[in-house]
Amino acid sequence: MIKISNLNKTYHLKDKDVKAIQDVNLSIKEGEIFGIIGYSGAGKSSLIRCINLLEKPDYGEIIVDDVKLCQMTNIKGQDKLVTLSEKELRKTRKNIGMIFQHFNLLERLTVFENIAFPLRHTKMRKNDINKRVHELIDLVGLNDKINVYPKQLSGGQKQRVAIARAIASHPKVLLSDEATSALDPDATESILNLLKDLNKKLGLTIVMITHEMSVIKSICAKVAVMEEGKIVESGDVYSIFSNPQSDVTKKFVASTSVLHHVDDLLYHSIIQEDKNGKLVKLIYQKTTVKDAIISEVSRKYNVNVSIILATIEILEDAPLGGIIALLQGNIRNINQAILFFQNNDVKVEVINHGRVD
Amino acid sequence: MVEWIKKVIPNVYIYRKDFITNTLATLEMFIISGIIAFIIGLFVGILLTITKKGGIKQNRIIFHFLDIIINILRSIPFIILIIFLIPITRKLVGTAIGITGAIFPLVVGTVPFFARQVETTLANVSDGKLEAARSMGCSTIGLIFRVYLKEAVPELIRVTTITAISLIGLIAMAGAVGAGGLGDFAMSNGYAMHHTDIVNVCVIVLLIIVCIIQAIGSLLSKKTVNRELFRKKVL
Ligand SMILES: Nc1ncnc2c1ncn2[C@@H]1O[C@H](COP(=O)(O)OP(=O)(O)OP(=O)(O)O)[C@@H](O)[C@H]1O
Ligand SMILES: [Mg+2]
Repeated sequence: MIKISNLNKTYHLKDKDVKAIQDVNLSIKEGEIFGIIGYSGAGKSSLIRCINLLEKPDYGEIIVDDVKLCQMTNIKGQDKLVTLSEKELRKTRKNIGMIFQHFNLLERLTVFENIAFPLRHTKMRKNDINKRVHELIDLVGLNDKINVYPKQLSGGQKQRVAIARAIASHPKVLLSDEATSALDPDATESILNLLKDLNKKLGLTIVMITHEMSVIKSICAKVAVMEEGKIVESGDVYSIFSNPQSDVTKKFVASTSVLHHVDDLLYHSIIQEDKNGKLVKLIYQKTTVKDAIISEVSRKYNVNVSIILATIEILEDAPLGGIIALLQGNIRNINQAILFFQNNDVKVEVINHGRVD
Repeated sequence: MVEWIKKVIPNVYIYRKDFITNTLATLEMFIISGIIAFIIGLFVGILLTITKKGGIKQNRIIFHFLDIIINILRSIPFIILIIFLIPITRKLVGTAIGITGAIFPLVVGTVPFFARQVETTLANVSDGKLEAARSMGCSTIGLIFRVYLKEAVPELIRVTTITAISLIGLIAMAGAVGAGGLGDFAMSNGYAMHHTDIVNVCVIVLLIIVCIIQAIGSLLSKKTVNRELFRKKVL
């Protein structure tokens, strides 16, 4: 549905150049909810704004729903970026909805008129516009707010209006730039549920930009992690987060897991050095969650396993578990136990030698 | 009543015909030059907005050209501007005096002021709204009329009011150099002939005109925030 190849964009400021996007390649399938996560300044907004050419890249090719929005063409021996004509671009943008962190509703228009905005001044007849807007208002559940102005709405309600407006002309793709970042947790959840619904009901392909891991976890199937304009890692959410490679990804994963509390425990000396033990982090996946692997190890290798922290999360409807445990006993047995875990698809990270007080 | 007027403002009574003609002349100049200046000023203000750096149709040449002309015109005191424009006014409308001769300098004096106000007003329409409209496939014309102008209506009314009031001042000044109107009347029949009552009455009439403009402006600006005036309810 969306294919981005060799995308580059540099902002030229007075004192320096900012490489906002560097050699980005992405491919997003139809009906997917694709997350792009990264810290502030990573280039996420720049990237998503290139997808509908609100921002013009310097180099690269973008295809959305079989329409080439821009590509490189060799003119007189030089690679030049060629984009769709202004008119074609406007037509294509009707097929790519977009929502924003600050909603960007028109303040002097009612909810009804805001949603009707993209339909007016098109070939659509007045009656049909009316019908379509009512349909959309139903879809986002704002029937009692139809004649209300945006100022009188809560953040979550405003974002619902923005979503209805963005999908009014039946786009196949919805771009979301931090759409939940200005909302409280409840509103965030309800907006995410709405997006999930639209994805299922309409087969809408959604690109979600966020800096919140929880957003990715709750609705995305695929994720790309961005840092300094580059995509450092991408794949399905489950495999990326069960086995993070880059430092940024590890930081994001740690940010939502209770397992990182082990650092606090170490810091406050609640866990301490001990030659006879090893503090390990065990990450076990879909297949191994149900097995009684801990007691098996304990029995088989004669090691004491004290569980310090444990967590389980559901990602893409599959469980991902994590345990911080202290293994105590004969050092050879401990090493064998670790080997056994690894042979059974459990990822093991030795954190520190330690003992729980 | 007539007796009372004769007693309190005797000279106004004597020159009552001239007084009425000149009041009407002020209103006529106000309406004609006001309408022309509004249209041109709005147009120039929009041009400034869209051609400036980061605007929706960025164009350095047009922007700098307009910017410099406006700065020059705004820095010339109006009384000098009128005199400076006399040859051009003559060429354009055949005369530099009377109502006909006043319109052109009034427009030239008002447009730069109004255009700047429009520019500032439109700059307050957030980039986000424009961006959202662009993402929905809105054209440049659509952005101007459906986003910029529409969102800014109450504020545009406010700056139009301010400009209209300053225009009343300019008209009085133009009167001093032979354009007719209340300014002229106050100068030649009042001040020059030591008829204080004429000066006072002219001040009061100008004050009333200004108050009326201000009241209408404030009301419209308030009523248009939520478009209370022309809104259709959807059932
Ligand atoms: N219009 C612009 N002009 C100059 N520099 C820009 C512009 N837009 C973005 N940048 C720079 O490009 C880099 C990437 O910005 P971008 O907005 O894409 O980041 P982001 O990942 O969306 O961050 P955030 O989470 O804060 O929104 C930043 O260093 C930013 O300062
Ligand atoms: Mg951003």
